[in-house]
Amino acid sequence: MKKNFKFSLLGIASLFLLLITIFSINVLKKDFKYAHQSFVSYQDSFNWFSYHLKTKIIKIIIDLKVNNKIGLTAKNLYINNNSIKELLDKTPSSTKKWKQGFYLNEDNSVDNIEIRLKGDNPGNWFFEKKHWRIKKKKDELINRQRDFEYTPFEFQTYLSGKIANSIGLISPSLKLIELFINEESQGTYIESENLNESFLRREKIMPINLYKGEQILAETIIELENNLFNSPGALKKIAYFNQVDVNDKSDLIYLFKLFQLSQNNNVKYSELLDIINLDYWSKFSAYQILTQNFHNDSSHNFRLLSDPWSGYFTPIVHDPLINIDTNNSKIDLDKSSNEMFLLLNKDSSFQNLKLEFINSILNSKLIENEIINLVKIEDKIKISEGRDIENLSADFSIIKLFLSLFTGKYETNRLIMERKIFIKEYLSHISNLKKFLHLKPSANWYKIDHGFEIYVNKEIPISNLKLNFSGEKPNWLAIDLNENKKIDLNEVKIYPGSDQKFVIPYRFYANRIVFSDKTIDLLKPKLKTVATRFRFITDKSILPTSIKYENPFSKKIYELRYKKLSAFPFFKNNQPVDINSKQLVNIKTNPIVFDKIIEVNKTLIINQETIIKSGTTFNIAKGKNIIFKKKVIALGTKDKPIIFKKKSDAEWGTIALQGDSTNNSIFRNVIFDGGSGGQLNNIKYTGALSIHNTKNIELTNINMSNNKDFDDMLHIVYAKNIKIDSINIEDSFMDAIDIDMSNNIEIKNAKIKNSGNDAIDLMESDVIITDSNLNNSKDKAISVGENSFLILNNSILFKNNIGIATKDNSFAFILHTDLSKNNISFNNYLKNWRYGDGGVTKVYKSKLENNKKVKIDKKSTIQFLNSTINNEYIEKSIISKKNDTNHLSILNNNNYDLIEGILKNKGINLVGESNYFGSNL
Amino acid sequence: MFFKKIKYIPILLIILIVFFFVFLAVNFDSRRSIFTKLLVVHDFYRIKTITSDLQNRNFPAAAKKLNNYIKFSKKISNDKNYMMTGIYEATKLAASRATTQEDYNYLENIFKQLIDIDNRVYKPHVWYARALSDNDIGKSLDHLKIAIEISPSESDAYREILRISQNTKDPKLASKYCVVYYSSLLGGNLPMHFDTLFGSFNNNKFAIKLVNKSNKFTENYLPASTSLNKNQLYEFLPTEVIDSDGFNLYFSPLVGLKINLKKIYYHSDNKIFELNIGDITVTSKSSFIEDSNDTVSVFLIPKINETIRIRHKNFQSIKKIGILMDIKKMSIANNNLCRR
Repeated sequence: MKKNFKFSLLGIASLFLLLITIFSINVLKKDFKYAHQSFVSYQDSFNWFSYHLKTKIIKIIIDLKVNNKIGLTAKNLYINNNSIKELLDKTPSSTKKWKQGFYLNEDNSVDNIEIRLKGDNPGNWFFEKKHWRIKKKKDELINRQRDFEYTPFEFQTYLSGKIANSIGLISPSLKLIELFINEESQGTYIESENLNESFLRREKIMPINLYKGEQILAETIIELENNLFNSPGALKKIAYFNQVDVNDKSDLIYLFKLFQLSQNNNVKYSELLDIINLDYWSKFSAYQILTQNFHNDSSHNFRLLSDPWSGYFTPIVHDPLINIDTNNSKIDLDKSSNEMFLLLNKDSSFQNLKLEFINSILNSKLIENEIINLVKIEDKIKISEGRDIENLSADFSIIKLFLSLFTGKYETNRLIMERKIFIKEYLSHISNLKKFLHLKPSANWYKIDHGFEIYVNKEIPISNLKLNFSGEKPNWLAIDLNENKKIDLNEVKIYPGSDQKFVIPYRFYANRIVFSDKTIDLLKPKLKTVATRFRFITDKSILPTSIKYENPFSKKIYELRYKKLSAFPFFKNNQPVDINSKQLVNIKTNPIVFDKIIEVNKTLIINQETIIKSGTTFNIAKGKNIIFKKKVIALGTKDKPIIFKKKSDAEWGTIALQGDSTNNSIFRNVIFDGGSGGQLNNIKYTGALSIHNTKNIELTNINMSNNKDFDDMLHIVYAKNIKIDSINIEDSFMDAIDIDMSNNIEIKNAKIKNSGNDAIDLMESDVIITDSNLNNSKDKAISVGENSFLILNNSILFKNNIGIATKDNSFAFILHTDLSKNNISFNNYLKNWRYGDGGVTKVYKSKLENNKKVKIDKKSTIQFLNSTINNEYIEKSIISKKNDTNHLSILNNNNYDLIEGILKNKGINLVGESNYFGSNL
Repeated sequence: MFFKKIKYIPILLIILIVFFFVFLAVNFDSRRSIFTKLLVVHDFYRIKTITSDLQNRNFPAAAKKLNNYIKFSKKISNDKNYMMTGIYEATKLAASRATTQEDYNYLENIFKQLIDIDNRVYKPHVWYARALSDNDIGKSLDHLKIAIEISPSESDAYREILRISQNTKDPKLASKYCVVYYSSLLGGNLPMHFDTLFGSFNNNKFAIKLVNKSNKFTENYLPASTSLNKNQLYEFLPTEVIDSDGFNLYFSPLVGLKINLKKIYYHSDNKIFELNIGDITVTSKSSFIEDSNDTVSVFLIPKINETIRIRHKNFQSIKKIGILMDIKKMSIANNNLCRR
């Protein structure tokens, strides 16, 4: 008996020792993987023993009483437990290997998915709440989205991301959900988009290069420059511009070189400003100040779009957060997260845009509204957090555990309290920021020989100077930009207003100097404002008696103190900013006028407003381009058209309207003969006439012919409100008119024949075509592709290979149109999986030659209403391989009355006779 | 008695081992410290064993040890894991000792494996290209082009191309890459264990610090960007109005740079003071200095944090400084091969 007892005791002790050894070895293995196994991984030491103990206990308590309350929107994923083990088997590489899983849809159907862990930080994988990434099948997208990322909910991240979404920065959209893996709640998560080509298309951005830079942690490249603005090798593409090689980084190298050169060269700096859309970058910087989110720095969280159509390089908000330093209440409006912002912050026009954005966002209460939206769903968050093992175990206490034995539930208000404290601190930061912007600016003035000086100190500018004179008033005054005591050509004289008062409509900013006070800070230098002077010359040296000024943000008016100050002259990029044009004072120019014969032997880049007189002929040499960057008024007449033609036998490049300064341009009675396309720096032109990133353009009586080598005769991209009336295009090399990512495009009286590919090709655009003849296209008369919307009215499509192809989530309404002798009249199908759907076409009061010439795939629908097919009247017929309710509702919603209303609003006449079928052209 | 007690020793040992495991599992700070130290010792051991082979120039043995090191690393994880740094350092050490084609050939497979693990690292492409150059110049040049794309300003890949073009008597190839080398601005080298003054060794950053009369360094450092291969007037606004006896220039060049210092301008409110090279004295921490008629040339040594000290008579109430200088890369081949 005693011996048996001894053996039992020994057995139990051995078993205990074995178990504890196995447990300990597992802890050691896990910790090794967590803290040491990944490349360049730094983790604080972590008590896995306590973590596992607490989470196991909490799990048991949660399982004791199942909480079925409905919290946040549930997302259910399923993955085999062995697959989870395999994902963690040989980290970090194993985490990237896709495993099979399942996704529960809202309608309770189940889709196959691929699933894996996300990120390079081992902290994303080894805790209960893991970071997940899923990939749906190409034919099972949800709202055109295939890839989803799930990261544990952090209030600061979510709020910061929502603010970025609201103010219009390019950033993944975020959704707060409760994640269930294999029916077990993982607690609150953020569902977000993956940055890839589909993301770009959903954001109405062309498929272009999207660069990612992460010279940090596991993604560090050994011994390589970690300042990404100087390190093209450290960036990789995560979306591609498919017209260049995947490994081609010439666009990036162009940007980085220009960035380097622009530091010492004003011409290069102007060129840099041309390619970065100052409005967007200043808004981005405003967002950073508002959220104190500076961790998209020079070495990580760097996501940059390189758009060869708009010509812009654009940062994307990635991994947002709000990082309030409660120990430091000092407001720094010039904090620069990377070298580009450091350079731009020295520029007064950038400062002006940035501070305007901050002020308008603060006044709009946008941030407060986002917080209110979150507070409104606090109850749901609380329910979901009540099932969150990590949340509960982080607030583990024996007393709560004891109580839970009686109540059957374990609760914590930890995160709710943290959120409350954070909101209070954040609102205080917002309020301090507003107070700071509304402070009385620090400024003085002082009389000098020929005029007077004003001095601006600190961050807040002064604006709208109002000068008072006691006796005789000067006729004019001017800012002496180069301090040479005389008026130069670029220095503008300011005259008194109708009330004889002098108001200087400029904003004056203090210089921002880049400095480091320690050698260690040379890595990340800062900006310091210094007292800055602006000198004025007055007519007859008559001096004011006093000067009033305004804080442009509070609009409060103060009087300048009369006191000399030892101040620096303003530095090159810190010129006064014109309040009205928001431009620097010295860049006003007169329009350039073209007349008679213009020989173009080298590419012309025209940065002035342009007038082209009737009868002007441009003889353009081989491959040379004319790029207009400001408004163009080209008014030819029928007798004396404006002509762009070849100088020799070889084709010229492109005539381009580039950028929003070309808004409101007009081309009337113009002939384009013999263009092709081209490239200028980082911008690609695929049309003989290229209209990029502009709006309110009129093209009337245009003749185009004989293009070569490039895709399009006329290419319109990122444009709005383009009216094309009476355009003739013959024998285009490929597409005659290509319209991408553009809205409100009207084409009237177009005659397009013998196109090498499509007559009109649409992508992500809405277009009205009316009274047009599209004949003999080698491919489609009209290709309505990739989420486009077309109204085609009163037109003839004759002898094309395909009449109208409606594809990829597009809709076409065809009315009063003849389709005859086309090989195929209608062809609706899904071509690009990223759009998740085929095409829907509604044909109304139109004439078709043969109903066999209608093709659809299983994802598409065509409806015929009151039309004739082969002289047979069809009152109503729907062709569809499966009755897609979504398609039916699209067809019902886009009824005749709606389309008639749209057309009438645009002044487009419909065919009057109600029983008339087909076009009356 | 002794034999009676000795039978408890294994049990005691087992208990001790278990206790050790439990201790490491529970005491997370000690665990982290022990693991970290063990890994450092492991890497040190690996490098040390290779060092002894390299001292004897026994490259086959060094290659074998490096291969074992990589194999061991793959047992943990197939791609880049924590051992990558140690493997890279050990390979770098071996490559630095390689002189003959044969030496490189012994290491060829190691270089290839490093590229397979991470093809975005600069040096392995250059080393691999060197190893391949005896029997596959085309492939060798491909890797050198990749290296140049990774870090366009670093000289190693260009030097290797010039060696190949010298051997193959291909002046066109040499000239093509000489032009690229002299005009390339981007790229840099981040040392593995410390930052330089500007983060990395690069050719596009420098800083100035004004020195005042009392020789107290009160003024801040003012960073700037270089414009290579041209006379450039670099302008600086100090952060406060200052009296100046001179200034220091700070560089962390990636390759050998030659600075031709021509003029210095000091701006006060009423006057511009112009200084020629006859008005200044120049010293440096490690660079070499040469005078010509109107220029002082400073030859910067690559991959060293450098300070150039320029002193002159005192100027007061300075609000702006201009330095006219021409910064260019030093040649990596003579003009006969490297025609630009």
